Amino acid sequence: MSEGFLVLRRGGATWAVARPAVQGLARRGAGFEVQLAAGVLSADEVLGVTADLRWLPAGGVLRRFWPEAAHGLGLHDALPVVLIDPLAPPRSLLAVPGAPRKGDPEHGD
Amino acid sequence: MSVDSSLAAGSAGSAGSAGGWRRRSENALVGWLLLAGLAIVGTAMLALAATRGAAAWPAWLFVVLSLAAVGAHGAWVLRFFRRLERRLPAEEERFERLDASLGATCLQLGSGDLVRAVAASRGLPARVASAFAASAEALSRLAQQIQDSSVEVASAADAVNRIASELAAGSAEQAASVVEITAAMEELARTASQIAASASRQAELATLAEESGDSGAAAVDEAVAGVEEVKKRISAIASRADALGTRSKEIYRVLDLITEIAQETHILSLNAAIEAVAAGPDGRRFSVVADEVRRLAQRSQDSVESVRNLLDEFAGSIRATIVATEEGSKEAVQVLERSRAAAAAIADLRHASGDTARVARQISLATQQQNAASDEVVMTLREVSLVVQRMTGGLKDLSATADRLNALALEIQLLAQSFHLDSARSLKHLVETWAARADAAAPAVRQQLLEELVRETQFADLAYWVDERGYMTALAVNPATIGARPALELAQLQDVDMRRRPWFRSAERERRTGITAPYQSILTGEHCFTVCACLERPDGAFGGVLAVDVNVTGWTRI
Amino acid sequence: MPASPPLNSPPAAPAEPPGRVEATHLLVRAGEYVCALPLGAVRQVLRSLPLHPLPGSAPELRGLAEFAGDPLPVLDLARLARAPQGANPTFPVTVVAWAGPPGARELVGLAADAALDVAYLPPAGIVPAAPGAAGTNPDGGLVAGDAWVGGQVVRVMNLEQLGQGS
Repeated sequence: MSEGFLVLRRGGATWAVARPAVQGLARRGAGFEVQLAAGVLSADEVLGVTADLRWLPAGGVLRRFWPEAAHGLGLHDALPVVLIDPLAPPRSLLAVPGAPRKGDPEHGD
Repeated sequence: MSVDSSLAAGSAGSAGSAGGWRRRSENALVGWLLLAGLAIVGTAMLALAATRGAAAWPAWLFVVLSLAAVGAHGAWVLRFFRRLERRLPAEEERFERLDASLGATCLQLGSGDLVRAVAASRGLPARVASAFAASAEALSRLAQQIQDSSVEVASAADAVNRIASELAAGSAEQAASVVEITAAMEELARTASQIAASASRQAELATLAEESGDSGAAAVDEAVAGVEEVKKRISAIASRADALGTRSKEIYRVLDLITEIAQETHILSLNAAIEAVAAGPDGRRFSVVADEVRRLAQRSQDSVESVRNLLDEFAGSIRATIVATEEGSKEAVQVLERSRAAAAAIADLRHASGDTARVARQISLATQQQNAASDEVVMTLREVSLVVQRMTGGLKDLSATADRLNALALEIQLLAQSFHLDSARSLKHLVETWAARADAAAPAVRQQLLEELVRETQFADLAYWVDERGYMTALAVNPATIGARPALELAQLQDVDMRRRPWFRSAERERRTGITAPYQSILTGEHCFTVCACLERPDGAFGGVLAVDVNVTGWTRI
Repeated sequence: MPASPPLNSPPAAPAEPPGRVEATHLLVRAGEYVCALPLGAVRQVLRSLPLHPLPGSAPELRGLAEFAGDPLPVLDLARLARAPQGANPTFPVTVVAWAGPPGARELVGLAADAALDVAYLPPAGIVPAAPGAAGTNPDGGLVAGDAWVGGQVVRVMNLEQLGQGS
């Protein structure tokens, strides 16, 4: 993950996704949409791209009490960050139906 | 002068014969006197002539002529008186007849029986009989007028009595009303007195209230000043309490800080214990220190809790004080407002008390005046009551007078009825007619006849036939007048001896129809008078009495 | 030379037997219960850490926190112990402890209402939790049992079961 991570906020939590997995980023209303291969993520805020994110693999406790798939947990500016699996992003991050798909002229790259 | 031969026809009652005889007697007497005078004159002339020596032959001629005249006149007078002497016995007989007739007439007239008197007067000379008949007729009319007048008087007396009764009733009602009004006025006067007394008391109380109002106003002013002072002091206390509250808040903050420090220390001690455990055996002494620190933190916490409790109590007291001062301040404000309101109310009360006192005095004065007026009214009502009483007395007297008048009218009626008139309104005539009819009837039908006769009248109560022995043989009762009283039965009275009854004895003695004075009947118990006709047998003996009782209340229907 | 104990302090702790360390527990208040956490598994007790809730998480997972430069999942100890809700805590704490089986321990935060004391709970005094119906543990095996400490019942937690599935 030398190309860093895209850090965004959604639902009061901070999320990070590997930068290479991001296919597109677009503003949607007051928020953003992050295009991944597995779908479009909706973000309230995009904090930026961090080149380096120290993270630890998700442990049993997280897996037990948070059914979503995640690579691990990290910190960004003292904020706990959930490193999501771009291939299986959490449902709570997915955009609402009707979000623009890949190929939409609004997508920027 | 000759005796008029008309003396023989004296029975014809010629009114001129008596006068003629009288004139003749007078003429004879005058003649004698003239002749006597002439004789005396002649004698005197003769004497005179003799004395004067004149010729005496005229005088002697006069004397002779006089004597001749005297002699002729004497012869005429003698003839007159002889004729008179011849007629004298017849005249004496006629005179006796006339005297008897006149006596009978006068006797009947004296007993009031005009019918028999007129019958008896037929024996009198025609002119006398005619004059008597006319007089009897006039007397009969007078008697009937008297009867009518008595009836009218009785009616008027009844009317007066009725009016007097009505007036008496009205007077009684008026008197009762006057009594009620008097009682009401006296009650009003008492009430007015009470009102006056109450008004006086009210005036006194209002005056006292006025004075109390002044005192109250001053007291309220002092109270207001006091309350304002209290309000100031409460404000000062509240300020100090606020300051204490602020200090206690600062202390709370310090305590919170200490608490936090104690908590941190506690956590630190726990972490120390954790580290001591992690250090293993080497951390045992550190564990002791950690325990001490933990206990120190606990003691700090406990001390803080104690101080906090104390401060809570203190803060509670401060709050209570603040609340109390705020409430006291509010209460003081309310008291102040109420005091000011009370002062205003007292001022109003003073005005009202003044007005009340004034009005009460006016009421007292008015009620006193009313009292005086009530007394005057009561006095007037008493005078009216006296007048009414006098009027009632007067009405009673009037009623008594009317009763006496009624009685007098009855007396007059009875007096008029004492005359036997040829009239259906003459009781004597009526009863004698009934007696004649009943006497002519058979004894078996006499009862029925009497009943028919009685029912035809509106004034007769009873008619009863009493024989010469004094026993009743027939009795007729008038149901219209007797009414619902127990029926009288002949069988009950047949054995009653009536001979001692005054009416029976009077009829038996005087043999004429009579009317008794009013008395109380033993048969009916009512006041009545009895008309009783005497019955005579063909031989002239006493044959009994037909009596008719007339109720004194119904005599005006005669 | 060890420092003399202060006045009015208890005597020095005797030599610990080898098993006493494991029997020492940290007592914390969670809801209306007092829970005992093995002191050996406790890393640190902190004032309640700022939490960042994780959307879609179970109610036992209160959120993520930062501890010593690492992300820390913080669990609600009262929920884990099935404790009834208590009064609002005045000084809540987060107990950072090692959870999970010995070979896969990870640091977790346990949110508690207050840190009370450290106590020695001999194993003999711990009454194991009764199994539920059909032999399953209603607490997911997180409650080792109950003990009597200082006149009150204490729930002894088993942090090794925390990282395992329910």
